[in-house]
Amino acid sequence: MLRVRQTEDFEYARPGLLDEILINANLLEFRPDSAVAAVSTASVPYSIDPLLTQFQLPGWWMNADGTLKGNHYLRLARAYFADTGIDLPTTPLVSAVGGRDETWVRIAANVVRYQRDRLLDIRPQLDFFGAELRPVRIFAPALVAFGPNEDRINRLLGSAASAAAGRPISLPVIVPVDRLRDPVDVAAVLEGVPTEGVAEYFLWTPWVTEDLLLADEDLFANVLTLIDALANRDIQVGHLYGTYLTLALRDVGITTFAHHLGWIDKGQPAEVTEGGARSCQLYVPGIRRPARFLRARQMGRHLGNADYQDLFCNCTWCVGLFDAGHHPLDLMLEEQTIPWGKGSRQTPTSRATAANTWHFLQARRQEVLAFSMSSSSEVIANDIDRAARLAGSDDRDRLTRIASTLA
Amino acid sequence: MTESDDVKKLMDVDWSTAWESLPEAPDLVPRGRTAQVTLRLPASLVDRVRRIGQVRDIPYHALVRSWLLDEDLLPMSSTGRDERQDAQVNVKLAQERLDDLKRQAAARREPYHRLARERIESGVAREESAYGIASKAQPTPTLQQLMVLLLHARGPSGSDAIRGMTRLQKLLFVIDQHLDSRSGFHAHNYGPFNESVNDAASALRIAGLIGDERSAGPPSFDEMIAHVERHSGPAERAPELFALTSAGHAAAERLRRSNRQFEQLFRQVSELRRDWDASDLNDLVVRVYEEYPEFAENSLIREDVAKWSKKPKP
Repeated sequence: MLRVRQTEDFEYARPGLLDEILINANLLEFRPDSAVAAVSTASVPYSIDPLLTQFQLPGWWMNADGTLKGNHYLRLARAYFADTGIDLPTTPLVSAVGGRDETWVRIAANVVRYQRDRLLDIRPQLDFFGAELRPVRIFAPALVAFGPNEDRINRLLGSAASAAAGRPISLPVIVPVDRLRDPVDVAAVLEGVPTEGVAEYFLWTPWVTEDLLLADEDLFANVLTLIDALANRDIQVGHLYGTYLTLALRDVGITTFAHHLGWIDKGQPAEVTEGGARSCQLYVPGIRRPARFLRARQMGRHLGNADYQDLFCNCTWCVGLFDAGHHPLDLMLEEQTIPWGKGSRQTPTSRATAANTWHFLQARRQEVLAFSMSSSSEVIANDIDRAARLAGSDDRDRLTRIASTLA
Repeated sequence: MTESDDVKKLMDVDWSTAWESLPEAPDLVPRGRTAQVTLRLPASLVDRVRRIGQVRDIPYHALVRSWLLDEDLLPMSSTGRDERQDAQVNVKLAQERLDDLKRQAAARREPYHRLARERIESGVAREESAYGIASKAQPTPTLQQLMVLLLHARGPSGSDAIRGMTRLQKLLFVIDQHLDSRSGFHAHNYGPFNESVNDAASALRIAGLIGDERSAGPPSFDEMIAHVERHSGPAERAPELFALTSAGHAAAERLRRSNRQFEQLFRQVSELRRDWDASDLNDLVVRVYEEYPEFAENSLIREDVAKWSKKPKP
């Protein structure tokens, strides 16, 4: 699944590069016509991530000066909190709702209705409309599970959403890093996660980056315990913000994978915002992880067509550039100097970012297909071999560590 | 007598009848010969006015103007009283005619906007009856429809492409004002602006109707490279180009031929584009600011635009 987070992402949502579009609800409110156009023309199923978490803390939907991050948050809040007496929660959502369980039930029903009807509500404008505009899955709204209170609310939201949808739902399980460090907390989270009315779980571990997991064995072990326990319930487990490591966890139980188009792994904190610089500053997607421009140049610029395809990348984009007589990295590593405060800074050009995005999307697709067709250990062993043969790559050690942890 | 005594004396006077005898204040600035009246009306009423305009082949602004000046029309307050007045019609009147309307409204002890609205309702009812028109509302064209028609029409230079989001915004704004499409333009930092224009342009691009030609299947290398080249390199960023693809022109043609309303709409859009799409973007902006000053109220560049307007043309 490709998660679309900003307007330009829709242009990359093309058939053959993804199986499903996952639209962030805040983007859907910001660019409703674009969302309908993308879903109608991509010919792939879609679903909406309701992102109730965006309203969990006021700082996640408002700017530091108290203004809205955009009117689309207001529209989204009105849809989610209709008939609850809440407008925009200017206090943490949990305290805005108070102890009124019926309010959470209402919110769950509103969020389900939003996902089911939002695209259908958008007025058809031109004759490219007409595709199936029903989402392929319905997500339960969920909060970041900071503690037992959120566990209880999430359980309530899950069962209310399932009842409102009239069918099994996709249930996000959102566990922050602090709770993942403690096995007792992980057990408590698991105890609160329902099985009734659930079609699949979607895990999200905000603030937990791939680097953090590889550096903290206990943390990694607890995450594996969580996945294993969920998978053993005979309910599919997906990941809402997947990385290479997430794909490698396929053998442990991750079967569905959503990723977005930013190739720097930030663990996707809940307060992720739109706009601003894309998270590719001076990075290029390399061997299964982003590499700084300088390192990527050292690794791949000297490679000819055959070696580049063998060791670095053989996606349609890179192959096409070679066929057109260009080295792919000449375009993908193009940078410029821009004024920055009193000085200046280096930044990728706009077209380098677009080029990297195609490359990243296709390379990630290849990863998904590789892990679908072979065991994780085989895929990782192949990547270790590639990394070892690439001068300047530091990926070998990291990949070896992943392999040994999973073994 | 102290100052407070003076004040007390003034406060004790009954001023309620004094306004009648006060002389008219002189204009602080010379008044223009024409004035623009902005009327808020129910959307359904505007749709009915448009329909009559189509049937009689008369611009609906002209119809509204004629009704406003028709003292024989008995003002009528119709069913729309509780309806939201979420549509806007701008009518230009000779200043003295507007003064007449205001005097007539004052005599009826009601705001002149209300008198204007009631005359329009009355005019609509009379014409619908005379021409046997059922009062079924016509759909208002959407931004995407207006955009494809605009990009299908040729500009004064002979090209149908439009360079830059500013030009696209301003031209759609002008069309919106002439058609009263009510598509959500408001006074913003750089004059009239509508966020939905950006969304509509993005939607048309995603659908392959503007920008690069798109295949239905996975993107080919040529499509990807065309997409990448639309973005800027290290050189200064060029304004974005909005041009219909062959699929976009086909969609515009289908729309134009779909019914008489769109056929006429396309003619109007083409005329407006020929009239407004100046080769120099500054000229377009200046004209928009001058003709729609209420949409320039929040502009951060008003002073700059004023300078552009005074600049002698070579």
